[in-house]
Amino acid sequence: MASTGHCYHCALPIPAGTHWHRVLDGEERAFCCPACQSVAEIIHQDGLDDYYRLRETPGNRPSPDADGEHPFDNAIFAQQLLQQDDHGHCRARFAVEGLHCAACAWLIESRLSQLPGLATANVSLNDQSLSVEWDARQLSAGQIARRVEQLGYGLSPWHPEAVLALQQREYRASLLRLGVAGIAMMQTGILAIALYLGDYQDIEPQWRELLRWVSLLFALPVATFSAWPFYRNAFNGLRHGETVMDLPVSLAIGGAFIASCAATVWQHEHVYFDSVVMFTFFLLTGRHLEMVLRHRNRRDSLVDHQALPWQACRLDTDHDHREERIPAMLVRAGDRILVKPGEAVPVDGLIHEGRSALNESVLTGESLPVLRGPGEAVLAGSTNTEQALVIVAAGSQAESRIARMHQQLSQALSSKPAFAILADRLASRFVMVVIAAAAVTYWYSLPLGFETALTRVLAVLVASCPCALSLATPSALAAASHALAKAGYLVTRAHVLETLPAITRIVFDKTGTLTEGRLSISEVICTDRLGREDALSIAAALEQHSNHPVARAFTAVRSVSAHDVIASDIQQHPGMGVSGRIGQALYHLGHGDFLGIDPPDQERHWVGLSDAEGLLAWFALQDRLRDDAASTIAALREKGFAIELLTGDRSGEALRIGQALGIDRITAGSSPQAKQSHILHLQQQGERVLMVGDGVNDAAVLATADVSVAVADATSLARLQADAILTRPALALLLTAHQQALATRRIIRENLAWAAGYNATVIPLAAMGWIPPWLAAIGMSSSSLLVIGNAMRLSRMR
Amino acid sequence: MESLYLLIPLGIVLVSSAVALFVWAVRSGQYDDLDREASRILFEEDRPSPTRKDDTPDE
Repeated sequence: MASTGHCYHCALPIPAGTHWHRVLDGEERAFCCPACQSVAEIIHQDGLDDYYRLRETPGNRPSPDADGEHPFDNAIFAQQLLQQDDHGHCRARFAVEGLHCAACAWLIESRLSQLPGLATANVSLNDQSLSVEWDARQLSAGQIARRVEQLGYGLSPWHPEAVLALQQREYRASLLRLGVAGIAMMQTGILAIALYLGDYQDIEPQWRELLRWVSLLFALPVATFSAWPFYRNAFNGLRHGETVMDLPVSLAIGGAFIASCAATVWQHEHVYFDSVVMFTFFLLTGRHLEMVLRHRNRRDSLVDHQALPWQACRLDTDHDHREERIPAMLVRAGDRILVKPGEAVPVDGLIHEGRSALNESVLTGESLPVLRGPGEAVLAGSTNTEQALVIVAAGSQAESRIARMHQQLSQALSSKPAFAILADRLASRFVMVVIAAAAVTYWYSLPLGFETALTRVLAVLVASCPCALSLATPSALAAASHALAKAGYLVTRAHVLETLPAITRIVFDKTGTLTEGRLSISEVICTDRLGREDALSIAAALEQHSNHPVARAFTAVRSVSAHDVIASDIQQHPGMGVSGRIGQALYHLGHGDFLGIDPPDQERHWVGLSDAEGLLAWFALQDRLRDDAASTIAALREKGFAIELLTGDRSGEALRIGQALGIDRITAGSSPQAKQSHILHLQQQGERVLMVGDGVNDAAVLATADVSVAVADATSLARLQADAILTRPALALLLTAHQQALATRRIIRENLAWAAGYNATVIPLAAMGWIPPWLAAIGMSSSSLLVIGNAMRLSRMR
Repeated sequence: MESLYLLIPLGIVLVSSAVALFVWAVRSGQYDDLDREASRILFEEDRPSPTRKDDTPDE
């Protein structure tokens, strides 16, 4: 009985004619392949069925179990990978591939914790990593890795970026300060209410003293530990002759705390402990939000180095060319490396044996593979699509061209200047005003007595709390980015939301951006000898084992077909086509030259199927336009943007697609340098350019544009440079982002106006002595909450 | 109101232990991955595995 549903584990369509079934938990489940079936069995056997109940996305199909020593057990590699102490206690961290949701994390942790000798296993969804501690006498790293790989997840060495460790320390320190301030705020708040009410109802002196002293106790760690960064920044600012925002803040917190201590000791009129703590808490919240945003921006753009494989298959020339799986970093110049079809080339080198087509899109942006033979050079990061190759390594992986490109781009990334946020520019002017106001207040109040003067100065400093001001921008940016990220538009640079409203011109790349980036069958011309369905199944059977984009167009159709056709004696003819036997007949599938027959026309990409007697069918292959490309471009034009198409593609496709979409200016056949100068030229004419792109040959261009967006399946280097990433290939998100940016700008202006207005009103009132501590506290908290609440409006996008 | 002399120190002790717990939680990385931890409660921890008898790691 053939199943026609979807695999229970990975949700991919079940190929016709396969019968992988198991009864699990009383229900019969169908699978697409033995691998998925065994994963499900393992999960069930270990009692981990909760995974299926709670997962959010389908599982991964595991790759076939490789035998021999696991690279993680290689001694040299292990030295770099693991940390081991004298008691045999081992610790390591791995990058995990294929993590989708919390259920995956739980599955891996649970399965590992069943291993004897395993101490702890912790999966972090945040940075896609697995941290493990185990007893080296009972377990090896390879065993742990195999256990995870059996479930369908990939493990690779963790590339620690020094900046990530720093970020974690920064984050934890900030959280500690915030937590202490928050807890203290609650305590001093309670005590302050008691004291304020007590002022009204004639509290007895001993209780007043007690409550004041306890408030002092709670406020002490806040005024010293939590507020420490403010003092440090103010001091550093003074040392360099700059007046930073933290200067009045430090004066307010420190001054109010010391004055309150004095008031407690010598029984003066007012204490400000609750204001001090609340002040610190709200300011710390603003800073914490800014930091989280900053970290998230940097982390998301440090994408995986997956273009380069970390394993390589070396041929041991001394021992009869035996294959050994080694870590790629151990490859040296002169080593013979075997690259199987479907695998990525680990190092730069020359082909020694074999002829195949290589997909170099990660380096050149060309989506169609290039034919290479013995003596020709291959580059690390390109994918071998057709036949196995033996290459002679030209150097180590770190010396490869793509590794060097990674390096250059990382450096360019870290030197890109931070965008000056509006509030920062206002900050120093604000500081001057506040200090001036405090000084004036002091001078004018001095005749009324020192204590009154001091009280009023403190009231001015506290009431001029820049809490609302410092929360105004980051809260809006955080809410807006979060909402966009959920919709599929991931902002990776802070300036995006502020620059988007200024954009005048949008430039699109073609392949992979406006089009889907893969070939699909657009038309089938049959002869009267064979029907459409049969022709498709024969073609799919022949292309079964190839990774060429042409082959994938056919195998995508296969699972839908109801016929059960297997081909044998399949031979790849790189760059030309494929031949094979089905039953007794020999078939050929390939370009017109391969078959010796002229294709129907010269414009489209035709692949023909023939047998010994002649032509059977023609298939037209096309890179399909994305579904929402036309509507998005029309809508963008309506909004007033000028739209352009800029591509490296040389075929007539660019012109055809551009005209179909109604794009006025089309430039085809551009080299990466030409693209970059084109953008610069536009910018010199005063245009602000948004670039939407994909392949690596766009990476430099993306850096030049005012705002750059990389589309979902973009290669890792392009994502590194892009200011925003579309995690779903929906071009309509460009419109959404534009609207959200406009809304954000409006909200930020509202927030800043409110914060400025609040300060302008309250400072004079405080100077005249009309703001007692409790009023200052209420004003501060409510203005901060108002600003945050206003920013939250951005979480609901239309 | 004399009870305040007992209750307030008691309160201080409680708050201090709360702060100590918070510091420990932050230092042991419990706040590092906030998205993940929210769903942890949905998974049952000590479920006995139905068929596992021996615990030898497979190859």
